[in-house]
Amino acid sequence: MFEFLEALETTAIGEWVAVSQWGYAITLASHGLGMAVVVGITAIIALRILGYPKGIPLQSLRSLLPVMILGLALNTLSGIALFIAAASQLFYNTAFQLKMLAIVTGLIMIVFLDKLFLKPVSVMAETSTSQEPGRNIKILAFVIILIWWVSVVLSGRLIAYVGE
Amino acid sequence: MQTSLNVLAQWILETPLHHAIIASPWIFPAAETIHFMGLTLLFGALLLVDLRGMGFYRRIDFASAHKLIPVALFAFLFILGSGLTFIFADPERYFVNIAFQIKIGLVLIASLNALAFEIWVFRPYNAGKAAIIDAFSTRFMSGLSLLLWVMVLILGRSIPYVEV
Repeated sequence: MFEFLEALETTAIGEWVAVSQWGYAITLASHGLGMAVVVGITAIIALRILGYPKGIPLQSLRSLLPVMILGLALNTLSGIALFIAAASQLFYNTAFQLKMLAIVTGLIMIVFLDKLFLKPVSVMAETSTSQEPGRNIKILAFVIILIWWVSVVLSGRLIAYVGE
Repeated sequence: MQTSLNVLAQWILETPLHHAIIASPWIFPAAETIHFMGLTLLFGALLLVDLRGMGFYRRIDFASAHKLIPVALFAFLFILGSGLTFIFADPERYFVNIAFQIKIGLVLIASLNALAFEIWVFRPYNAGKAAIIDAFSTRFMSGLSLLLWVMVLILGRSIPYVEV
């Protein structure tokens, strides 16, 4: 396994990210921008589900998902490049492992949020008043944003500290 | 300019706050985490407001989207507080950094742009001039806002890579 991870680091992408002067900075900037879009859109969707601002129709929340997926694509691609550049260290880093677990959990929960609420509500008439989310949906939205903030952002920052 | 920044840096280095920050193992990483959480919230809120201002998401009425501005300001307070923590930790590192200098300049321009938007777009809109929301200047200012904040994020991420 370790040999494979080290081999990854010597690929063209790995070398470009790790060694070239701007490779790491550009990849890290893309990673941060993608993160801001994904977590930012999630935060706004969660905020609206929790009740603010009421004027934003619940039906429109689902249409924010394509923007989030764009951010996710940018975040994932740059994340893979960053991983390749330091695969042998990151793979065994506890903070990194927790971060991956949090991302997968968060993504699965967003798919559930979409299936259980965003999608069904998106086809309801805007005049119907019985569409405000129930308590379980509110908890789900709150937990998603909590997972992404506390785990992803925190452990993302901590990789540099714990890894040393 | 450079000398007054030097004076400011020397003053910061003598404050109790500076000594408290560098003596603590957790204040700096905690500030980094708050900076990141804040920027995702700011970004999410502005993404929706600015995309609406650019003419997307027309089923969301602008006044409702605009209710996210207090959310953005709330997030900005945390970003500013944690950002000041970085500066108080090591002012001489940041003041001479070209990415930091441009970043702060762009934050000021983005703030002025937001203020101009409030005065010349949102106030008349709120007073009943609904058509102003589809004016070219409204779309331009919204697009400019998004572009500036994306650049601020990228420049912030670049600060460690342009150090001499």
